[in-house]
Amino acid sequence: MTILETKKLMKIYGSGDTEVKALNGVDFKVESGEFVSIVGTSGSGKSTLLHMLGGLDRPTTGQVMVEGKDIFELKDEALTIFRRRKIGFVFQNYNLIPTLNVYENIVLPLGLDGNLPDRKYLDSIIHMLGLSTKLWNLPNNLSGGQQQRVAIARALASKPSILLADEPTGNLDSKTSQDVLSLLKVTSEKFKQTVVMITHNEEIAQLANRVIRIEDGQIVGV
Amino acid sequence: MFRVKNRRTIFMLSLNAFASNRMRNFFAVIAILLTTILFTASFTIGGSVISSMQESMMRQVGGDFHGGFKYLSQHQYDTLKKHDSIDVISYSVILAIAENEELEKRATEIRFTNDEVNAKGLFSLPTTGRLPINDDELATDTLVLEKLGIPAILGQEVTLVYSIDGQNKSETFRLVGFWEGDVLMSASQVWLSRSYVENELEKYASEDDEIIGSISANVKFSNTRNIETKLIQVILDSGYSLNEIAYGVNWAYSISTEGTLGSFIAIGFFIGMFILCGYLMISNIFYISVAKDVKYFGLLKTIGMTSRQIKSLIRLQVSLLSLIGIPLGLITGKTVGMLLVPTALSLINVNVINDTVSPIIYLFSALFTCLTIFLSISKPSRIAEKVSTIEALRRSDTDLKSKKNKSKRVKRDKKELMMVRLSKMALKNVLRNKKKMILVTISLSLGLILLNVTYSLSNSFDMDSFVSEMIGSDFVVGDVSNFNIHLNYANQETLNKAFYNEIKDQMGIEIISDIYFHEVHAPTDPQLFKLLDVLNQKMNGSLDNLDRIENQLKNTHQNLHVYGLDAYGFSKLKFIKGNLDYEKLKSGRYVYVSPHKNFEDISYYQMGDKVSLPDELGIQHTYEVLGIAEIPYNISIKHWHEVTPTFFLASEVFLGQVVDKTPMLSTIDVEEDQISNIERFLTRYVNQSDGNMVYQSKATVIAEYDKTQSAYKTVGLALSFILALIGILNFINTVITSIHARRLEFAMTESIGMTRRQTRFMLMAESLLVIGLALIFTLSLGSVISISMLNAISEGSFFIRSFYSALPSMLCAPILIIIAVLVTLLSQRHVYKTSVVVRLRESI
Repeated sequence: MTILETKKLMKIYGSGDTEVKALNGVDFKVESGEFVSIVGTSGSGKSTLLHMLGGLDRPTTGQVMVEGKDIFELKDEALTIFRRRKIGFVFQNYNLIPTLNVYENIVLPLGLDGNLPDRKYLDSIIHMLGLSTKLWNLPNNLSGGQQQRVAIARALASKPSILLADEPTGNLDSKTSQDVLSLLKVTSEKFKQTVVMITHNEEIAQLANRVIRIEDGQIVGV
Repeated sequence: MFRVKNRRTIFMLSLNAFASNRMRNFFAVIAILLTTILFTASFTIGGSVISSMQESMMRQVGGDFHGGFKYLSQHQYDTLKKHDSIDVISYSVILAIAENEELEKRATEIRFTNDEVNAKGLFSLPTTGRLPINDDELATDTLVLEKLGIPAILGQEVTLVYSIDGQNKSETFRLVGFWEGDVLMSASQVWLSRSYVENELEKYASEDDEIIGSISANVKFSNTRNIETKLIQVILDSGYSLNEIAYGVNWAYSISTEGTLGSFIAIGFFIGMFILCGYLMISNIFYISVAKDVKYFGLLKTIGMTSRQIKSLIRLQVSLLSLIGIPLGLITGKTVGMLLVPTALSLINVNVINDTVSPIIYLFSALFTCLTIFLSISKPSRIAEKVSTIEALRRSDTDLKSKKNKSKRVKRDKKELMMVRLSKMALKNVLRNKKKMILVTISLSLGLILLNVTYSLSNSFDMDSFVSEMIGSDFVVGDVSNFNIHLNYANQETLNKAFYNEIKDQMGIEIISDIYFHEVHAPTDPQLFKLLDVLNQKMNGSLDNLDRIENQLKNTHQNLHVYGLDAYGFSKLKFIKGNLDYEKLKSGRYVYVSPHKNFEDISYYQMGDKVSLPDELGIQHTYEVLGIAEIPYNISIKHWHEVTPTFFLASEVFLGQVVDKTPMLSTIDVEEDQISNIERFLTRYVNQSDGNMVYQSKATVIAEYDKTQSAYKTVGLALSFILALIGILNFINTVITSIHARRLEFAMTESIGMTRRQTRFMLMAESLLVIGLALIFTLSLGSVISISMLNAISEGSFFIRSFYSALPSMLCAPILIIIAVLVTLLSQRHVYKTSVVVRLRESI
């Protein structure tokens, strides 16, 4: 089943002489349960693409279909709600809320929706990510790797359709990077979680089932 | 050490940072402006009040000399004037009092002055023309000329009628100088030439007349401190005793120089409060600003800027802001102050407005503002200096203090784990910067607290006790000097007989009770010395005018106050010991005494004591004290000394001992339905027939009460308005800057699905929490402070009862909430102008 599909995705910044085509007609599909990585150099448009996929930014033209629905038909507020239900984000700089402890950070998207967490599922995530002993800590007291694991747990908590990871290991040393990536991989397999990961690192990209290459706003190889 | 030439760079950086911090600048300038306004306005009001009171009193006293010696011989004058401490001394000699019929209502003294300094000091120096030199020359003021019907033109002929040594004289002079007369002054001067006056005195004056022909010397010292002590010192140093030479202090100077401990504390309290207010706001602004710029400072440090340089960077920015804020504040503060001066003066019954305030107050205002600013930025600037390079790059407003957040173990309560409530987040957000929270809470509370106090105070005025204390009868009539405590006392002013008789003829009069009074000079009773100890004990040794009392007691003679009251008048007294026995009193062998004016429980004499009082002819009468009683203020004489033994005799006894049998005051009770008629009659009479007569009625007292109350309200509201403004601006600033500083956080939460509506809800919850905290603070600790303040005020006043209500602060809550909602909406909208992607990227 195709869970994510882009159609002629274009994003143009500026106009005239200063016009930059960040995305220049991107078309690809992601099947349910797939672990896809999008790899490209700095400035290739991969971050813009990820933002589009997560509904953080709107394209100039083209569509992003999630579970068959064009997400940009939604208004801003609805798009935000869509995001917290269907998309889990993992950022390079973790983006945890400093005033909330680990547990609260993890269940925040659920809480915002007014939902109760699925305790069994949640426990299994927490256990798997090795956060059981850190639940009451504040993010500041955690190492980078631990913080990123919290971010992954948060992204998974609402059982999203797609987990979008933006350079998830960009701020981590290589040993920790390995840990985090294998956790991503394992969770993807265990929970049949669709993962789209952005990276500039060829080696990391290879962990995925499929690698999509992007250059100058266009897909150059799958 | 070598100096690096870095000024230019730092200056450039400051300007840069300055330009990029528009919002901070705006708020900082407003904060500095408001602080300056607070200082300038209060100093302007304070300064104007003092100078107005001083001018008013000087004009009533009739001179700006510090003090004077009276009834001197030429030899005494020549000896005294050599004293080192005297800065300026000059004199005048009185020949007589003008007896022209036209001048009956205007006391006019005929004198010569030895120089222009003296004339000027008595506010009687000709502004047109000059002082007389030749025998036939004269100078006087326009009031005298007006009464005599002579136009104020030099060269006019002026005829003076006076008597000397029992001989009536009428002489004509030529006007060589005049000046604008002043109704506030109790007497006008007519200057004649020295040669004319000396000739007349030589021909007629009898040796034994103490006043006519004697020298009145006026002096100024280098400063106005302890004038009385200095005068006494001059007398003693010159080899005279206090019995030989009489002296007088110009009371106008007692206002500013006799600063009591209490007034210093009050002034200190207000200055302290203003500094606190300014501090709360300015420091909060810079605290936020530094927190926001912490990365910037870290960066500067990374590239090699020293802590000292960072400090001067901040200093320079603050100086620039002050350069804008302080001058604007001085101008606005002066304007605000000037607007409030008339109200403040009406509070203390001063009609003269002298708003020429010394420019020094601007210097002081600026200095105090600078002090406040300096205090305010010291902490934030220390934080900026201490920023460590690596940490700063990681930090944001959220964890400015590097102190480890203690991980608090929350109980694994199912319910609590169920949902992360937004309001809980809001609470956490509010609490995460406790210092900022406390600052904002206190500064919001200050305005609210003062508002409560003002409201409570204006509602604690008890009109009934005010009215009954001020006037016990329907009407009280008497000479103007009996009602205005600021008018110079010229011995026993009494009722005008014509007026008195006309009142008696009015319809509906029920009771007229006459209050007789005279002041007698009697040898000091040695028994009074024990009072000194009692008073001193009472004040715990802090009686600052103890010296004056001691000096007063050292005089061989005392001024005693003696009242003559009828049975009705006695019924108005408040008996502390003994009961009224008017029949016994009429026998002429008994007397009631008053306790000390300020201390009801200190009495000059006890029941059963024998006292001896002289009558007007100097014959001593001995009485037995029958009881101790206080006379209500409204029917008492309005002046007294620290030690003034006061006696109450039956009117029959009193009248048997005096020559002038006119009462000082009369209280009138009339039939209920005639009150308005009598009121109309009295108004007409005092307005048309005799301006020196004054009456008080319940209506006039109530009007006065309203005036006092509204003056309190105006001043209080103005103050609370400024404080509230500071609090609200501080709050707005905090909300705006914190929303701005948390742009990233909101981008983060938005990216994981927190809607803008949810963010808005959380932000509003935060604002409401702060407002709630401020209210709790106002209602709890604020109430305690307010109540103790109000109690202190009500204790010192007979017409203010203890009353406290926090209603105004509650009523303010909706206003604050509206402000909170609006500010949150607006600044959130501002943040959302930038897309979430851009905001997220800012963080990377």
